[in-house]
Amino acid sequence: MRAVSVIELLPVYLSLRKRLLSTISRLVRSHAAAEDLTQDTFVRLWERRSVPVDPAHLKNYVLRTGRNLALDFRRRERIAPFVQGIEHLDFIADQAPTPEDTAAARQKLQALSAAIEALPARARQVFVLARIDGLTYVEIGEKLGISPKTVFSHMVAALEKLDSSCHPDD
Amino acid sequence: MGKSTHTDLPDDTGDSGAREAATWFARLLDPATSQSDYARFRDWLDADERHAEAYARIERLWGQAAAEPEPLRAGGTRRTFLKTAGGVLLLAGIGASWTAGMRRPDFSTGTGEIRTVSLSDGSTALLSAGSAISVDFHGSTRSVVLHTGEAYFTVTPNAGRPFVVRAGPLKATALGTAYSVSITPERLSVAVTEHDVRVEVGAQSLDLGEGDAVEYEKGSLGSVIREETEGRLGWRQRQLVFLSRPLGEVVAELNRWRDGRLVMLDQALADRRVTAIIDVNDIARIDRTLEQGLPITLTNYTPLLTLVSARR
Repeated sequence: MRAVSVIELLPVYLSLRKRLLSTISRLVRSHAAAEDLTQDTFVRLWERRSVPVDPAHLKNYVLRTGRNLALDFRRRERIAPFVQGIEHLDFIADQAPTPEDTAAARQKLQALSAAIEALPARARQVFVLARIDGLTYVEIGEKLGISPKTVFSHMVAALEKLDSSCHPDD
Repeated sequence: MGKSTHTDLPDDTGDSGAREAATWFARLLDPATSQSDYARFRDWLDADERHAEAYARIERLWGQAAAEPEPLRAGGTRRTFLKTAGGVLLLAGIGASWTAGMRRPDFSTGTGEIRTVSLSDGSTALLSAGSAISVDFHGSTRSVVLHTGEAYFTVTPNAGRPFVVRAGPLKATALGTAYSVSITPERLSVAVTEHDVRVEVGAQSLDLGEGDAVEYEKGSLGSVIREETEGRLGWRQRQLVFLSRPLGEVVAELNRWRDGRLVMLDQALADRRVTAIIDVNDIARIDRTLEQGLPITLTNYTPLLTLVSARR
């Protein structure tokens, strides 16, 4: 695996853009939001271009990135009404992607990647299947042969550990 | 009260805020979360400011964890990659004020046109749209002047004959074999993909290596920019890549690819930064592409004049 250049990334992204837009549109009601998320997919791919990718998986990676952006948009849309008026959580309703192109952001990302790798095996599997593959607890349970309730507790454990890895003083 | 299907709600007594926040976040991942659960979530948030802070932290880490292609592995540096991909130097130029008094350029391209010029020593100059260069090769001199636009040079190595590109007050000497120069009214820039280039302007001098770029703006040379070089060259495949660029600059660049003129009167909009790829292969549908890819609305005033305003 190696870092991907924009020369490689561009044609793959462009060849998939229509498909990205249609996948994202099925998940997100507003057409304008779907267009924005399709562009955001490129931005996200670009910001992470130094993360090694197996070139054989590039296409899936692009599609998964778009799908996950859409799923997360939907999740935040669902939660937004219930966090209204809470100052710390304004950013949830904003729906603007956090810029990741600074040195500080990149460092944080590396720390987070290391923390994910350091999770206990089950917790990591659950976290990755939920976050990267967008599976539900029921689907994860079926895949791993455990109950959704167990999946849930692994998720809580994963989030708690990641939170404390990234904020050891709190 | 709604029935929880497979998750437990957080225990309000004595748990640390972090555990509760993780539990709430995990609970709310379920799209089938009940209204009463949402209401209890809100009650929990309202109960203590630290709850909201803890929840915000989980949200942020979730956002950051998006779409890792595989777990990050050590090794594989940018430079190693760039060496195998080959080199490029980009220079972007500055507009009319620098070219005042210049003689007619030797080679130029029109709107939307890309053209390769072969130089007498075997070197080539690939001109982007709306660009112009003049060439002066004699004796031990290999000199090119970039008047406007952008050009990508692949240089035949010859230690005895330095290959120098000038754009306005800036001079870029190839210490290796490939670089590109570009000029816009506000900015000159140089980017290198192969070996090294020495950039000099006034008393300032900087050596760029593979993958490096630098911009000259408002009278001074900036610091070296890494990792964007491939993006800056997207135009060679007719993909204009803008990485956190002011919209005004994006529009100015687009005017080299699109007939007629895009005009932006809103300075706040012009200052707004965008990251986008604009495909200029399909020129007939370019306005639609622009309205999709950028936060703008285009209004045609005449067949040649289009006003750019903020997207409604």
